[in-house]
Amino acid sequence: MSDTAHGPSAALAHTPHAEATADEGSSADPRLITAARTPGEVTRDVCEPLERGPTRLWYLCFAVSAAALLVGAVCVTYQVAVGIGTWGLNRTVGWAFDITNFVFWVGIGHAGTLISAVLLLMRQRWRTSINRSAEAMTLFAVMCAGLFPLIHMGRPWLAYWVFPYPNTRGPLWVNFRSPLLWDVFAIGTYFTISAVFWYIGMLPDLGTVRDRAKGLRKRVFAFLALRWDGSARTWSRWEMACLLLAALATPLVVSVHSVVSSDFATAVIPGWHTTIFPPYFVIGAVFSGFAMVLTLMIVARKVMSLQGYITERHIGAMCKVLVFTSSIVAMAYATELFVAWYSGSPYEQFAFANRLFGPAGWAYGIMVACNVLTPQLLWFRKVRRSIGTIFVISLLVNVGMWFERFVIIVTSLGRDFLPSSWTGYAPTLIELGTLLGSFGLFFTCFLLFCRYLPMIAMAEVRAVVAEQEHHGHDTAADADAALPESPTPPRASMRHCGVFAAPEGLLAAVRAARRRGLHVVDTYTPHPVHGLDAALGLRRSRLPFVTLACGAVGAALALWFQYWSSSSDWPLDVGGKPLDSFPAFVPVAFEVMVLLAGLGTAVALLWRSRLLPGGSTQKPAPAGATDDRFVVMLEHADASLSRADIEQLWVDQGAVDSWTEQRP
Amino acid sequence: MTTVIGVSASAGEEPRRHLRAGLRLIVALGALVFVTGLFAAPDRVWSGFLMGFCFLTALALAGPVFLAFLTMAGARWSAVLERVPIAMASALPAAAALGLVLLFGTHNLYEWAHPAVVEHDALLQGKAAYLNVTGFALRLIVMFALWILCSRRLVALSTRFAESGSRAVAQSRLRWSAGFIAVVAVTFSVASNDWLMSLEPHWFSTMFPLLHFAGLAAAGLSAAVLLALLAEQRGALEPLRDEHLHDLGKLLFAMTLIWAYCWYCQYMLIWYTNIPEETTHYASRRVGAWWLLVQTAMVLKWGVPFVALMARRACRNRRVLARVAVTVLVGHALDLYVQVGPPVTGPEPVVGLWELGPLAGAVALFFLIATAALERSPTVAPTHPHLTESRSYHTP
Repeated sequence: MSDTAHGPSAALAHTPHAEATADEGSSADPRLITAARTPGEVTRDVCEPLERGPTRLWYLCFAVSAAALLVGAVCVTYQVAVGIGTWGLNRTVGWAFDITNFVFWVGIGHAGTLISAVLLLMRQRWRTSINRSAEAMTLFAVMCAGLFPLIHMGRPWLAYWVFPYPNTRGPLWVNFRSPLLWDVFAIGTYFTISAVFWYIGMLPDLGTVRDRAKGLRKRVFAFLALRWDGSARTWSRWEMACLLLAALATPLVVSVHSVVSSDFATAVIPGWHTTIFPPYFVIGAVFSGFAMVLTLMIVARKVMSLQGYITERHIGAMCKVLVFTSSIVAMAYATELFVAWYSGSPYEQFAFANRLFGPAGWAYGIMVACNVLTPQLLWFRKVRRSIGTIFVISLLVNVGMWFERFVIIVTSLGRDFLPSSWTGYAPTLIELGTLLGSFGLFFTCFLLFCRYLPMIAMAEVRAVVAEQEHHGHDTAADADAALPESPTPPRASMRHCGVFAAPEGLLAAVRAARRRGLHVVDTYTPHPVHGLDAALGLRRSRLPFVTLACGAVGAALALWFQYWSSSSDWPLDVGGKPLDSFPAFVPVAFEVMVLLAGLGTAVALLWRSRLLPGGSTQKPAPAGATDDRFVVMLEHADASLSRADIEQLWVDQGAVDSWTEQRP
Repeated sequence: MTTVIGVSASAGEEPRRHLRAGLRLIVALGALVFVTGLFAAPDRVWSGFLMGFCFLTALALAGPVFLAFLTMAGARWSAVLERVPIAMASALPAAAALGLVLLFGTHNLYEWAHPAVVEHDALLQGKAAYLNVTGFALRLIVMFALWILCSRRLVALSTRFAESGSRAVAQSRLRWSAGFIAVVAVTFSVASNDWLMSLEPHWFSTMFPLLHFAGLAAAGLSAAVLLALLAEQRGALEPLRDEHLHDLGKLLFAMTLIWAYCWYCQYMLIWYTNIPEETTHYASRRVGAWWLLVQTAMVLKWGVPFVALMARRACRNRRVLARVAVTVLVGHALDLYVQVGPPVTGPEPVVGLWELGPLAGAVALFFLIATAALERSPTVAPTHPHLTESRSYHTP
């Protein structure tokens, strides 16, 4: 491959990186990605398992998951046919297993967005090895979550009634003051934007798979990759779009679980209504989601032989997030208990005494043991290095967080204000089967994802690898602004391409060409190259304006519509709330804002970069440009320059290959 | 505050003395107003003192909190401005001293400190195990002792890390940072309950401590931005890159947004459920001019930074950044006033010398101590392992 280009830099001591690993890394190898030194190796390691087909272990896992899914399908069919009476609900406990599972699954999804969005904004590079699969997890978890309210509707074929659409029942609109409706908007937006973010982020890797594939696979991936070409302009807009989607997804993920918590906190039931619920649910969701990511990653790195990509440092970093969020959850538990006592309200005090010492006190015990006590072991570095222990802790957190929701929901309802109506609750076999089925759905989807799509974000990992192999300040970059302008030559008929094995060679060639007044048409690279925009003199992408405009329109539209439908077209008194309930209109306005802003950004990216399926038959990217080759494409109208001169330029810059082609 | 910025517009030896003299004057006037007020209008001047004390404590505590979070996140970009949070921490002893003075004002500020009232109030009797003067004083002393002890240790470790760059020190700094955040999470919760929530001893909200922690982050970051820009102008800090400003701006944007989120959640849930025990807090603030002040605080502390710092260019502009920081600080003062005012002064807001004097004095005291510490402290050791990376910090 490109060992010649990397030889000297790879031999350097990685001083700046060595310090970062002082805590987690084994002292032998300070690199974040230990399995690869070149972009080509990343491609090979991620793509080959996909092309080879699944292992026996995969088939085994798939069979188990599919069986669980089948059980779920049977249970769902039965309860839809017979009715919700098949559940263990009663007059007092009208909400139990289904909503517990709903909140549990929505929470699982939160780590994916946190890893892909929040850690991107915070420039935590370790996210690149796990963000793709964590985001996939988000989508599948939200699908599982959506299942439960859908079934609870009783008549799922009328589910579209939850959307505000003009109907034949007169001016009849959904109730925008209800947190259950906020859920519809929050979960809907969350699923849509997460899917868009995931897909946009996967485009470069789909391009890689396409360029390696043959036959039907090639046709399918050519369609999915939307003519991805890896050009500098596309990369520039793609990176901007990812940043913008991350900036939207970050408040979105906070809003989603805040809205979910409002399902409870807007009620007057002690144990449900407390003002800390929104942030407390959000952090609990991130906590449980990270536990699930850890569980899956520990298995997946072994099954897919990705230990060199998901290293002990990645696991260690996730452990730290886990112990941090666990401590915040502990703080929330403590605050709840203290304020319940401090409030002086006998109802509050009883709700918590009942939670601790009532008939379901064992569930509270499990919740505290799994969420607060065992994760504290992760303060010790020895524990953070023992994969087996981490696996057990992460499983316990999953259990504990499920019980947290169960405790909050069921113990608060079971013993309400009227002792004569106190009851307990136990799930029926149908409910347990549905829960099992949701796990089956989740793991089946995840296994299919591992089988058919690149599980590691190759492009982003290539950038990390390039950075760890070659670091230090790019001194030539400071002079980029002074490079001469090179307007498009009017009558050039030929294009000259030079191929390089490393981003440094590409950058040097681009600068050399521009210094000579040649016009660089574009470059094609397997990962975004740091500093290339400046070297090419590209203008900063204007996508942020699209995002802002779409977001503003979305917020304005949603606010207007809520006011109009709730206080003008269908003025209905709900729970004595004023018709123009601004505080209740904020969540939906926010969700619609994010939805339109995110979709607008994605559409603008695809449209500006001509990323559309089909189109002309011309191959989108030069050979190797989605794998391990860095291609520069030049044009010139200078008659005094011969083809040999250009060849000489390529040779001087250390090109590994070059060709000349007709301008299309 | 206006003095600080007015002077920051020009550089040199002369304005430096003007700034310090101005700050000293405000501190002296604040102290004078406070002492006079003790005899003329004790209730009002104590409320001003409480605001000033809470403001000063939040800014001073924000220094080590910021430092600890930077360490935990493994940040290297911040090496050139690490001295700013360190300087902020040096105001903690002054905050502790004001805290000791506050112990003499409990009778004027807190209903639960009146034995005669508690005697006829079943609810307060129930809380007396927690809300009593001895407990209040003990908790305050223990909290400040912990904060000062931990922040000293953190600062010392940071300095040693800059000098030696050793892994062992880095390890120890990381551990102390994580421990310190855990300590602050608990103690600052207790502090916001004690000092502010118990002004209305019948009212309670689980969100309250978090809301105040978010306020601490927003106000503390604003102060850090101002101190960094001031020190840079006076040559006490090496020139910052656009990227440093951008990151500070983005952090300020995020913190003010988190504060607004917490505020909205608390308000919306109390408004929505409409439970009498809880609505009292907002009932006394949704009347007359108070509601206007609450909304103004929201605009200053969240609206202005949200709009102003959305653009990348604005974050990288020193003038914009400084003005937004001052706005957020003014918003924080106003936010404290709408917390403290209604229980003390009743249904009509009164702002006068008695409130403004101690408040302005305390804030000026913070900036006096922090700027002095910043100018006294040596520049970043050239051996700092992150210095090169921080100096050439570049983001696309």
